[in-house]
Amino acid sequence: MKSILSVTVNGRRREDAIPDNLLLIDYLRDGLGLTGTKQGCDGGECGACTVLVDDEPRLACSTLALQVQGRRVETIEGLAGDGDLTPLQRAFQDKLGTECGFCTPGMILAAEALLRRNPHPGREEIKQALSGNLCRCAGHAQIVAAVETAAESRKNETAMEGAR
Amino acid sequence: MNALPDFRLHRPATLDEAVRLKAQIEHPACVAGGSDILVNLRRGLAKPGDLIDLSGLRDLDAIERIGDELWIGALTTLARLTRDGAVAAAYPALAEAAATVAGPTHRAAATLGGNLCQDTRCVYYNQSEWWRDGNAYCLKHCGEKCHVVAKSDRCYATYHGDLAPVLMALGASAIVARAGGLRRLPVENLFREDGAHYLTLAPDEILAAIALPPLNGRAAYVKGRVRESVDFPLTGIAAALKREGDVIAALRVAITGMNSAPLMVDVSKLIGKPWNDETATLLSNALRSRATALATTLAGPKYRRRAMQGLARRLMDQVWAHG
Amino acid sequence: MNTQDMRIPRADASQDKSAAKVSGKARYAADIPANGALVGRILRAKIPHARIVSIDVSQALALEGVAAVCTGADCPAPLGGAATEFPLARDKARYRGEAVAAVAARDEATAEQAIRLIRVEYEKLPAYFDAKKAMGEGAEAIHADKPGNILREAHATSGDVEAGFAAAELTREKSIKFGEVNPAQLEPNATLVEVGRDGGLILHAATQAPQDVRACVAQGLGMDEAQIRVENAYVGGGFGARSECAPFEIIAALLARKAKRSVRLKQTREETFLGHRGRPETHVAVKLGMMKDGRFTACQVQTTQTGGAYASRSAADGAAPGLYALHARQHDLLRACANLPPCGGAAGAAESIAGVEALINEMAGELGLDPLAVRALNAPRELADCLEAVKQASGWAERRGQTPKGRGLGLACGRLTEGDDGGVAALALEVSVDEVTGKATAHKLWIAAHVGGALDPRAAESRIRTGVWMGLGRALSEETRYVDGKMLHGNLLDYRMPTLVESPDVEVVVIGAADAAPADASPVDPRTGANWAAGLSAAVMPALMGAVHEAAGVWPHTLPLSPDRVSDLLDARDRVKK
Repeated sequence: MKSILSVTVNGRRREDAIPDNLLLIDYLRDGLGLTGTKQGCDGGECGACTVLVDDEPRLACSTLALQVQGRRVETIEGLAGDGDLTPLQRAFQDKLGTECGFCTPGMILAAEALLRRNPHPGREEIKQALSGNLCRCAGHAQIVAAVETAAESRKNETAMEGAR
Repeated sequence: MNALPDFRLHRPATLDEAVRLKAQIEHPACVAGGSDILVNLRRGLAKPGDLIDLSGLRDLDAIERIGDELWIGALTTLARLTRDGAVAAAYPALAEAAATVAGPTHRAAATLGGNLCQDTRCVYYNQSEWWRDGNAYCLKHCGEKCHVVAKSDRCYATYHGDLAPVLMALGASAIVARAGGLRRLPVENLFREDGAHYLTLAPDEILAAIALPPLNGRAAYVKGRVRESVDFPLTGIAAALKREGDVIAALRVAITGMNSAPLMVDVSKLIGKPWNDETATLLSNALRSRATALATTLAGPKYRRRAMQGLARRLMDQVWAHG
Repeated sequence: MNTQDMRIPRADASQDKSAAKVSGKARYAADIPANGALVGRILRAKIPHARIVSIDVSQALALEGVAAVCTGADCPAPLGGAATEFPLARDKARYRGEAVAAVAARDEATAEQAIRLIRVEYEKLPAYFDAKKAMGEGAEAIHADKPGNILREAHATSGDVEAGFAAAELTREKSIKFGEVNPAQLEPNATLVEVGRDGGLILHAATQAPQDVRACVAQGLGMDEAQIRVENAYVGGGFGARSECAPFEIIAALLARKAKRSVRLKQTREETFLGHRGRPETHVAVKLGMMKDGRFTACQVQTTQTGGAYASRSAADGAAPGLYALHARQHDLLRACANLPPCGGAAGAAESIAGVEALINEMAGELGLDPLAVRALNAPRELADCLEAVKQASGWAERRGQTPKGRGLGLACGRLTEGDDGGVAALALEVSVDEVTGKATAHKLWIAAHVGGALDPRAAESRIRTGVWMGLGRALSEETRYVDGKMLHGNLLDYRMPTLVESPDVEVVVIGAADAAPADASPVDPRTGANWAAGLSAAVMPALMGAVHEAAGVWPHTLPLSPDRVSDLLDARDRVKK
């Protein structure tokens, strides 16, 4: 069975005829070549496939592609648009650039969802919000520091915009 | 890898349409947040020809006051339950329990209805097709034999939902939609103590909402687990207490993570007495006779029983102190 | 396509790579585009020990869309020259999950269907899942050339051990069991093999050992190494699982050569767990002699590992170097071979050190001595520096014995790597124990490491944090579990690696790092390729045991200290009290 999916992916509207049983992760990776969304487990265990659907974090491995019908999907590739890295990405690059990087896209998107909902999260909130994203290399220190740095620079950007 | 079976996906826009579909289709399965069923389908634990996606039913994600009850639509996400002002004000135990479910990204997708109706679990069941095939399958799916209780005639897979015991302690009702309209039943009656057939819903029924009566007293939920995120409860206890002076005027206790269904615990012997060592022993005995933890999880049953006893005592100390 | 020459990574690529990781542009093995590549799947043994009587692949081959089927007959060369392990099982299957056959087909569904059409006739053999039974009298030999199922044996003695114990004022013994742990690298195993016009192969592999993969694939396929190129731009962790060629890399190459087309072989998380090469279950029996002032007189360690059906080729030599200036030492290692997935090559040096460290804590307690002072008394200069740094950083002198009820402070030392090169470390750990749930929670960890030479301090710190993080997992919650050789833990819910919520504050003091170029890549020591996880887990585990003792008055003997284990200890303690 195939159906038509209309969806906005990384700011671009698309229509694709896709099988009913296609998972969002496979649509993104195999269909659109957006391989920044990682598969780390056999379903729902590791968080590596986290994407944003209408600003909320979502596991692409346990979501049907047709369930994002009419919605706005953002993957790691779309976070910075066509420009440079976002402050959050730069902070992860700075603090965690030497780690293996496999959990990083999902971790960044979970953090992005947190910062959109709560621009100034505390340390415990950051740990909680990212606790479904398993990381084998780092432990929390660098990850929390990266999110805190990003929150700080967002605040400064907002302040500068306000001053203009 | 772990591809989903072939199915036709139905995306009804209204509850009526969903109920109609459920009545028409033979052996349909339902998906909402996907965090339970899609994971299981990827492991080959069912092969439905039709899947009904309930996530488009806008009429089921409302939280509203109806009379003196709070109605929560079955499609309300767990993330919303943790943040909703009306829920936090009237039933903080429910918001707190929702916050303990899985991880934050699961909670953003997972729904109240899906959490209640989630499949039972077992180390011999939540495995790949290859694994189960090499183990002659099991009584819950495709097999002849239960590997947990030899020679048993029913499946002993365990129910691990966090919200059911809280709703049961709160005396909530399940609102079920079917062709003729709605029916209402106590949440505990949604479940049956049989791991393979743990829900009492008829094939043409859909869980539509939960109706919570006013809370007269104090409720709380406690969950035993190894990691403070992601993990299912190895044991979970909910209690709703009405304290009058120095006696227990009313008490409802429910458990999860122990049996094939979330269960009410008979605490009638505690009513009219103060909470002290004597009533703690009575509660302990009541829990012991109700819970039958078996080797369905990697942490052994002995541990789950011990943790249940200790956590129940701690929980009661807490609600009694604040009650 | 040019299949000549390995690509040499540029030294200045580090910044580009980290930018690629955070922007999603980094392509790991499963991300490399490959239009029209066939899908590879592996058929795995469902019984733990069996003779393979016959394999009938005719029905699978006849299925439309199947391009190639391979069995052990296609590859007579043992894996990397190892004596008995083959990429695809030949005469016997020795663990549940061993690769027996593989197919390449046009899509996943066809590959899956083809796998089910392969008929394997087995003759079941007795199987063993623990060292004792495997080495028991009359046990069936898992490998013909390993009678008694002893995979390795090592004995090392220095000084006069007997005299050392005779001189001791206190001698104690302790047995500890360390659970088997899995590398559980986050990137599942995956390989893409492209076939060049010249018949050469390009492997995009999830490996940290491209040279070894190249050599082993060449050997396995009887090809010239010059015809094989291995790319591994990004690797999602290894921790021992990817330090040498794994069977699936050769299987993918066999399929691609036979099908004359590109083959992508992705594995599930469960299969990645089956790949194992982590640390086997290890029993350590330690005997330590001490003077009343805390000086060590002799040490004896007997290590018994329940190894897998096979082990990594890159095996350590088995002599566990001690941490202290102690001449009289004896170490005996026995690794049994069991019908379990292949384990890593480590010879239990980390567990041996952990065992000794745990016993030092207990004996210091018995003698009323400060465990830090006891270690300082026996430590060589570099370790003594670490101890002093941890003492300062943690406020050891003020905190020790002063933690509130239910909390405790533990201490231990370890090596960064398992050999005697590469530095030492000391760490202190503050822990609470919940008497109701039996849960031990790590709150704060202080570590000082002497990294011994040229290493970018930032890279060193990062590797220390990784090592501590993995050590905490192993100490608190991670372990593999089998019933009759059936893996029960093959997913990331049941294999409980800690989440960020379990991650305590970690304060790192790096000593002795000289200037060096900024280092890149996965968390391994760039000088030796070894990661520091095993070495540091050797310190985290006994430190946790010591902290749990201070918090709850029990001396643990089995790791990990998961809530059920701690509960058992608390119950035993309370039974004695009554």
